[in-house]
Amino acid sequence: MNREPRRQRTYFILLLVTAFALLTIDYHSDGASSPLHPLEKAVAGIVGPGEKAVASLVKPLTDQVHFGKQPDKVAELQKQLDAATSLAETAQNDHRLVAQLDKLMGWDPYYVDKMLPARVVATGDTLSNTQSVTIAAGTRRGVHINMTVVTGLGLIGNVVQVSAETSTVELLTDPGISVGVRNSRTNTAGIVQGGKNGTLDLTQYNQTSDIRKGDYLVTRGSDNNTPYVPDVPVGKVIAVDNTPGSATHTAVVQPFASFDGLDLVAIIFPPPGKFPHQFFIAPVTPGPTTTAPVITTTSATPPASINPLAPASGAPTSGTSGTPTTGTTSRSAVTTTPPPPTHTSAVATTTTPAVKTTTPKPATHTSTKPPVTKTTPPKSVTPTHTTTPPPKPTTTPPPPGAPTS
Amino acid sequence: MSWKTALLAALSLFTALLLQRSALPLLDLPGGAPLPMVVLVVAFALVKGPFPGSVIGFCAGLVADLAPPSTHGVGREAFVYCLVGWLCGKVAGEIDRSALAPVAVVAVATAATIVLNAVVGALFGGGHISLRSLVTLLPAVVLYDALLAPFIVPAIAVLVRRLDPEPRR
Repeated sequence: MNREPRRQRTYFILLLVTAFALLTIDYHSDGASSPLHPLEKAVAGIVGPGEKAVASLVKPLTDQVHFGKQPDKVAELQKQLDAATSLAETAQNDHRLVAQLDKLMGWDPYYVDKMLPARVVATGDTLSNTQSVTIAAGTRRGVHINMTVVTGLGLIGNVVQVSAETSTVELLTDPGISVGVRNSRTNTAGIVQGGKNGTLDLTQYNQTSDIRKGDYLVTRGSDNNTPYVPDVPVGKVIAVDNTPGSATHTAVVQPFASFDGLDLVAIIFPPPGKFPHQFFIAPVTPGPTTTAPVITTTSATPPASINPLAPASGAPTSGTSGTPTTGTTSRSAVTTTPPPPTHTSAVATTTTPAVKTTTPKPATHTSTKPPVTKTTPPKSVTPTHTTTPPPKPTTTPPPPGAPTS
Repeated sequence: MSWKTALLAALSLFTALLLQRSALPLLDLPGGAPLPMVVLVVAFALVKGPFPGSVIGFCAGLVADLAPPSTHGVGREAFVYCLVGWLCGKVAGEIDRSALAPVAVVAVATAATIVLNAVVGALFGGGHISLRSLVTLLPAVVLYDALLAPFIVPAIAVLVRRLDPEPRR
């Protein structure tokens, strides 16, 4: 009678030691190379679909009712404005066409074509890591590790684990994540890392270039676009620490994306090879009237096959449809749902100057739309149109093998 | 512990894990989301004793560690739940049979779980919780779990006694 409890206590202590051993193993190994990774993947294969099922039961309810605090509309709109401004500034610095962005007031259609929308089905609970979320898209839909994940407002993180039905996204705010960024004003490279209270810490090694409050940051882009594709809005500098004599500049950055109540996110599928983000203004001929430049791109046409926003394959879960929430503003391509029938194609409403005739373009092809669009009334209300991409009438086929300048 | 009890524990804790990760955070309750897994581990420990409580806690915690979207610190929740299961099993013999006693145990266990988890997480990674968010989160989650306890603890006790009639040592 005395022996049994003692043996049990031994076993109990063994369990605790096992847990500690696991912790040490996991602490010293990293991500996909961890010996525990296959086990995690196996559990994800079982728990992931469960989380997806539970979320699909609960989402219809939570879409209608807010138990907690109401989302702050003004703050949300301010963030949208900031993110759009960031994109616009990037565009100017890159000599990219601003009208291109007017079109979307947000995401470049180039990106939108390559987005796979997915809903968040599980977040970390109080005990687990709250800096990552499960989303309802996995290998079955082509998701793999190290893909860029965004919301309508900007970057939120990258995919760190996948199973058949779901994948895990590690959020930007995790202290373990660092992202290469570019200051859109000075074009200086830096690195942001998860900081305190949902902000990010920016480190910039170039001493000659200053950081100012209000600077916008976008991703610099990684090799092979993994894990980050270039030019995705990241955040805005809210406080600067310019210690004289310090080897680095540091600053506090407020991310554009809001990480509270993450719901609909999008995974960016970069095309194979180089991400053709270098839109630039073609050398404008000194014609008197045509000052408006034309977007050109150095690479081939994006593959037409990837268009995950098409209604046929777009909705990640059944709960997606019918959230009329943010239809009032821009960025609907990411924050809202497949197009309502009223969406007059985003292309038609743009004010992109179609001056293809004036540009010398033996070397490049225009990525603007065919001249048909000139017939639409210009100066339509830009911020209110929906931004779902039309089924790709936009790109003219590239001259094969054309030498780029 | 009979296999029926083990099955009951596995099914109920798996359901609790799904709710805890998926449904309850989506509700966006003020303060934080409840932790039904803690309530269940406490319930099993109270009726079965320290050793079964610690085994159930360890297994539940390990699955929670591995389940998405957890990314860091496998073993952390296993450690915490195992310890809580053992301690609650030890307490089981001491408390009187009033209706409020299990509620109090659940409340204390929830608070202990959150704090312990934060400490282990700070040492080994995972479960980043700042002190400030801990202060707002702790009372809310303790309250929610205490509200769940009067439903879950007696139900588990009745079910386990029915499935596993042998008296506990």
